[in-house]
Amino acid sequence: MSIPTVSAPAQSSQPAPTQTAPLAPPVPTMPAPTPPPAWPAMPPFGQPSPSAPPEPPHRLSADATQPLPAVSAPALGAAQSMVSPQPTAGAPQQPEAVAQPAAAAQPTVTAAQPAAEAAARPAVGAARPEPETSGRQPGWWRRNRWGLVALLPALALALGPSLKEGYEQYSRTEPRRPVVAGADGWVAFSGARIRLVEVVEETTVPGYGNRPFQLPKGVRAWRVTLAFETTDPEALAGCQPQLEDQAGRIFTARPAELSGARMPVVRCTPSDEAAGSTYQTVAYFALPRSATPAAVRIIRLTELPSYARLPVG
Amino acid sequence: MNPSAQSGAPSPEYHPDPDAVASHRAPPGPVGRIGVRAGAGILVLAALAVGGAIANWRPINSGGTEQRERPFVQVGQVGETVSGRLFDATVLDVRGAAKVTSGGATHDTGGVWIVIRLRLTVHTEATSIGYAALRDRRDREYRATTRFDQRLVDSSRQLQPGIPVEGDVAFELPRDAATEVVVQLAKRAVDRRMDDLLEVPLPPVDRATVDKWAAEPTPVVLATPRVVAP
Repeated sequence: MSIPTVSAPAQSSQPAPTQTAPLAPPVPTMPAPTPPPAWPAMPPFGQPSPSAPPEPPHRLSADATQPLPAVSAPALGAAQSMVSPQPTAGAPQQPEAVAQPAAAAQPTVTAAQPAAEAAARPAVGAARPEPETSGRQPGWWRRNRWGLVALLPALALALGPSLKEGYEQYSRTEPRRPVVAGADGWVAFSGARIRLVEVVEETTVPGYGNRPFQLPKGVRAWRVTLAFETTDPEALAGCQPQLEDQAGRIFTARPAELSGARMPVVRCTPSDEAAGSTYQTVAYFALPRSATPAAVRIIRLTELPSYARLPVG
Repeated sequence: MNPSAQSGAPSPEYHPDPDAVASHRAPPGPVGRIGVRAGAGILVLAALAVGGAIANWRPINSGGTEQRERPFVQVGQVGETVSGRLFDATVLDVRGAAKVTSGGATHDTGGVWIVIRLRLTVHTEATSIGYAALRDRRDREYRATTRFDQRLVDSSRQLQPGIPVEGDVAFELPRDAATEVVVQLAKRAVDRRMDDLLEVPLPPVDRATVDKWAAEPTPVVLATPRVVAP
């Protein structure tokens, strides 16, 4: 049996490098089989593998300018047998690189290795094996970790201002934040100081025409006196005094239940006759007979949600 | 004859060339990387645009907004107390008339006056009542008349917690609507979405009764609101 010897340049249009290894004899006297080579672990794109040898040129790449090494006759014969019209459905699948021991990834290079490598190359046009990528590329979470981390401040920036504005608008609709009195009984509120002087029940409410006002059944009238101290006469303009009972119910001053009684206009600003920065005001409230005052609240719409709360007693 | 079979050399089927990569794409170059990042930026901008469009989408009564934001209706009967979130209401009496007198002035009508006696008590905070209406079988709404002051239900009187107040409220209706109506009460005069709405159906009357009311020459004097014992 004679195997035709074909030189490598006949297979390529490019000049082949000088053959340094002796050609394998025609009669197969191959050395002992070497361990099967395995796919080395492929690093991510653009990153060289620290342990892998320099990557040789791709034999089957479209780059025809790469020189091909000379191959031995048996190997070429094997390659020719693959080029020949044989069924390719049984094209070998690449072995799992991760399943190979590390030592197997570095096969011993022998003189006959080029022949084995050439024989192992898939033929042009044959079904290409699936590239192995499992375990080589980082997962989705790892690749997007910085984007995910950046998502948190991005969401905070996107949602925070509108949430803050919505909460502030909601808070400003009602008095929710009491400003309480200090040890001296004064409350600093809206650029002024306020003190509760007294809260007393009025059994006789003055009416008009020198006649006392007849209180409705089931109602008690309470008179509240407040003292103010401020250098700005308009600091508490538009204030609304309220009386809170022990059940937490809120009553407004100068109620319709006391219409017909002679009550002063409720104001937290100094009257024209008032001299200096200290002045007082009086407010009347109507409460059910069963209710007991617990605190006086001073509301100012521009100060919401804050309000002054002065406990009774 | 296959030489590898003769020599016992490894078969190519089982020993593929580790360097023979079947196919892969080269890593993107500088221009390619800029393109990838620009694509990601365009996707982010597109996501923001879609989110903004959704956030600014304000359907006008689509998707059943009116049904979804309807008031919470509390129903009672004449003579019993109906309790809502802010106040209790009791319809004490119902009358019909051709004329009503309020504040010393008498007011007639081409239809008929329906006058109800109400008792209102607020719960925890001084509150005014701004909505009182009659709704007929055809879902037509007749607000408490504004031809004269009705301070009990026009938001002008603050009711104090725990102090019940009674008073008359007058409604002016066409005669064909007065036979079967429902009283509706709420705090807010305009926006009553997702708040309590107290309903008291009035006893139905026949058309002859309505015509009799409309022919009554004596006016009904409306009682001004007054505090009553709890």
